[in-house]
Amino acid sequence: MRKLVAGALLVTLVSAACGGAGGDARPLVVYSGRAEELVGPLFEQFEAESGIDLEIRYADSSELAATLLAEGEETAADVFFAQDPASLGAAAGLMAPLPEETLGLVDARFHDRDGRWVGTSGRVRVVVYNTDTDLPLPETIDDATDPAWAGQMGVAPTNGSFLAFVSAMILERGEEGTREWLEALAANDPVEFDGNAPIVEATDTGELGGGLVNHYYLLRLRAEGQGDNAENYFIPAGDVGSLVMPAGVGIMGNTDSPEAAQELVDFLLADEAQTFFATETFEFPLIDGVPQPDGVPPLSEIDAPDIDLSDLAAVLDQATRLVAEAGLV
Amino acid sequence: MALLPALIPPVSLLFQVIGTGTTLAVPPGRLAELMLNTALLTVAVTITAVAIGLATAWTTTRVALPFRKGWMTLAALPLVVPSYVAALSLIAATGPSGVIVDTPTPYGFVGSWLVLSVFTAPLAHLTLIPGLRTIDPATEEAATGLGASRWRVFATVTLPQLKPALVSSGLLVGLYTISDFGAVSLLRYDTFTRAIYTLYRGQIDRRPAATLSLILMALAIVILLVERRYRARVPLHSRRPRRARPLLALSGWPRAASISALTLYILVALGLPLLVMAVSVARGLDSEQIVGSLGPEAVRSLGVAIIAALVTVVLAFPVAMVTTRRPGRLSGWVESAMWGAYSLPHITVGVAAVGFTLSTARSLYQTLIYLVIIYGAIFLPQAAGATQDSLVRASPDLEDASRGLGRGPVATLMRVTLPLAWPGLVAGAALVFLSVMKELPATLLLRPNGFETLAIRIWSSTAEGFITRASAAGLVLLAVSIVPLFLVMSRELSD
Repeated sequence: MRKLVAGALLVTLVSAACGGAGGDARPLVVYSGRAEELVGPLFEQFEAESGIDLEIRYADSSELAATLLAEGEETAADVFFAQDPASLGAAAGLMAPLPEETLGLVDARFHDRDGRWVGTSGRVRVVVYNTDTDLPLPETIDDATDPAWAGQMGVAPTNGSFLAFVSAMILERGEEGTREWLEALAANDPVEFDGNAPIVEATDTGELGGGLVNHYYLLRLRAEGQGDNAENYFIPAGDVGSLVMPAGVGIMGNTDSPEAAQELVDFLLADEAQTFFATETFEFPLIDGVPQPDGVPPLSEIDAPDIDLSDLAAVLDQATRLVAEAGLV
Repeated sequence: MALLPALIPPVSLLFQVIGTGTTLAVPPGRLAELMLNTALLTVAVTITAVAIGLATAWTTTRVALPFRKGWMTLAALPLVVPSYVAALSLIAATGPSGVIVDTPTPYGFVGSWLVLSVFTAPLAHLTLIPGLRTIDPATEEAATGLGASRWRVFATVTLPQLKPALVSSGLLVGLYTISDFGAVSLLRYDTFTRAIYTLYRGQIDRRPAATLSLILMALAIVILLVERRYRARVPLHSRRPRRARPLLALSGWPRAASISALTLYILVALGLPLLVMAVSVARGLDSEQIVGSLGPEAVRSLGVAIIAALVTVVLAFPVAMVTTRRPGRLSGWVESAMWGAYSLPHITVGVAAVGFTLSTARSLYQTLIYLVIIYGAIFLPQAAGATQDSLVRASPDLEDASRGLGRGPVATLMRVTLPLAWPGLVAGAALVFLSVMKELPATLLLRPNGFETLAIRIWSSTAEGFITRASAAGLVLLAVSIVPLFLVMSRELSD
């Protein structure tokens, strides 16, 4: 018993000490709303190539944004890497503007209007569907509430991506139009899930006709040896049904290592990392000259809506309220 | 003093709401619906989980079974399965491509009730074991001697003596059910806590979630006050010296039935998640998925869970002393605060704790020490519940006698009170250990940078669709939990 306790103490202290990075210099602190499973290898590559030690806090993007807001100017974070523009926008007030040459690497759609965050990879909203189904594939996002889909459409109303999509719809058609769409969805007996991955799995097994998800979950499922009975469908109407949501990065305004932080941002926008996103996380690279992931159309051919993602964070709370009022959560 | 950590979450939540104002993002009608759903689930789960826990605790403490200590440990282990993993197992086991049966997955109330009943039963199992062990055998023997049947003895002698432990078990299960998010969210049952998580995750404005949390905590305290009003205050301690009780030698069908019932429980609560995870790992390795090293995560989880268990037990002992030896207004407040914190969704506790440390104890922010303190705040009732039961059974006369014989208060505490409370403390430590091993929301918010645990690994791998890695981490979680649990339970809890 005593040995057990002593062992536990020792081991925890040692591992806590090793939990951060070694080395003498203060490491660069990254708040990463992108999971270690996805981007851990990329950060290791950066450490090896740059010699800069990273101390990474992985958590949900919106949770980290709220943490940054709570910490305010005193935050230990130097860099915020998030999976959606809403979380980035929420914390943008604490970020320093990025240089023009960094912002210029990506299309103007994929960076903040005021230059405080820049997109690093593209994620597209799609309808995933079971290939054996004869349900009508939606021509527009309004067809996604077609009565034919009653009880067959999977949604993840509490998930950050869905809320970002609803926020975009508010920007596109206003509060009333969005409320109507959500009520139509709620009236059509949608099947609610906690996240995107289980929707894609349920679509693959035939439990569902399909669902509203992000494009890469199917490609991820295929890497696990499943997913042969499902396919991604990109709504061709130029509406929020095919919203492109960049994951992105920004540098905190109070960082004491701006050069190292900038080096990390540059790394994420260089060929090596962009290729990693295309091949390992199945996302769209955002700089020119890097090949697309297999099994998806080129980003330029996707009919994305014309909205300014910098405004997304401002309507996120409104989106959550509308989703709750429609009875979806 | 011992209660200070437990006061952090409820008090800072209160100040947060007072400071920023209340706002309801959910329409009142919806609120009533959520409240009703939550109440239904809580009552149903409490009844079934306590019944299951009573059955496993009684069988493994009273009946002469082969590998009895092993059974006792195994019946506690399902508590370490995170509730979203348990729900995922049910989903994988059923449905069109079900691993076990091809019946539709019971989403909604039924599924949530099944999963939470099976996986919270160990809260009752562990809380009831010390009580079952320390009941004076003489009363039961007297009843048997007077010709009462075994069932009658159990119903009229054993159960009434177990009442305090049963009440603690019921509160532990019921208030956990109120705070659970994983099972209800995956199985699509709308509860209060699900709404709170949604608001925290989807909104930058944290007032609506804080307001709902406060309502939820008020609900829990009402339950507690009702319980206190009707709590029996009968002395349960025996004046005779404790002696060992012979194990019940069952034979024939009662023996077969009790062994099969235990086996069935273990198969459902441990076998099913194990099978589902093993199938995923096998399929993933077949597709050349990489599991990666889980060693550091396992070490961190184990280390922090063992330390948190010890710290919580140290905090729980004085709390249990005050509430059992000096019942009154003060101890009423102590209990309300403690159970109030326990009933809060862990995300609320985490957010409130972050707020507290940022404003008043900045140097503790994102440290291991603070994480352990908050674990203590959340899980204090698990340790205190079992300890209270042991203390209720120990006569204060023994302590008086010790002081009368000239021993000082410290010596009395060490030589008399502590040994009397020991079984409860050990059971409490085991409960806290298992609960911390799987804790996620507060850990995510409060841990030092880079301190990834097995529970975090399971969660983030699951969310990103890394099925193989999530399942492998789940298997490791079960495997590493069983060793310290077995060591403690076989040495300290089974005579």
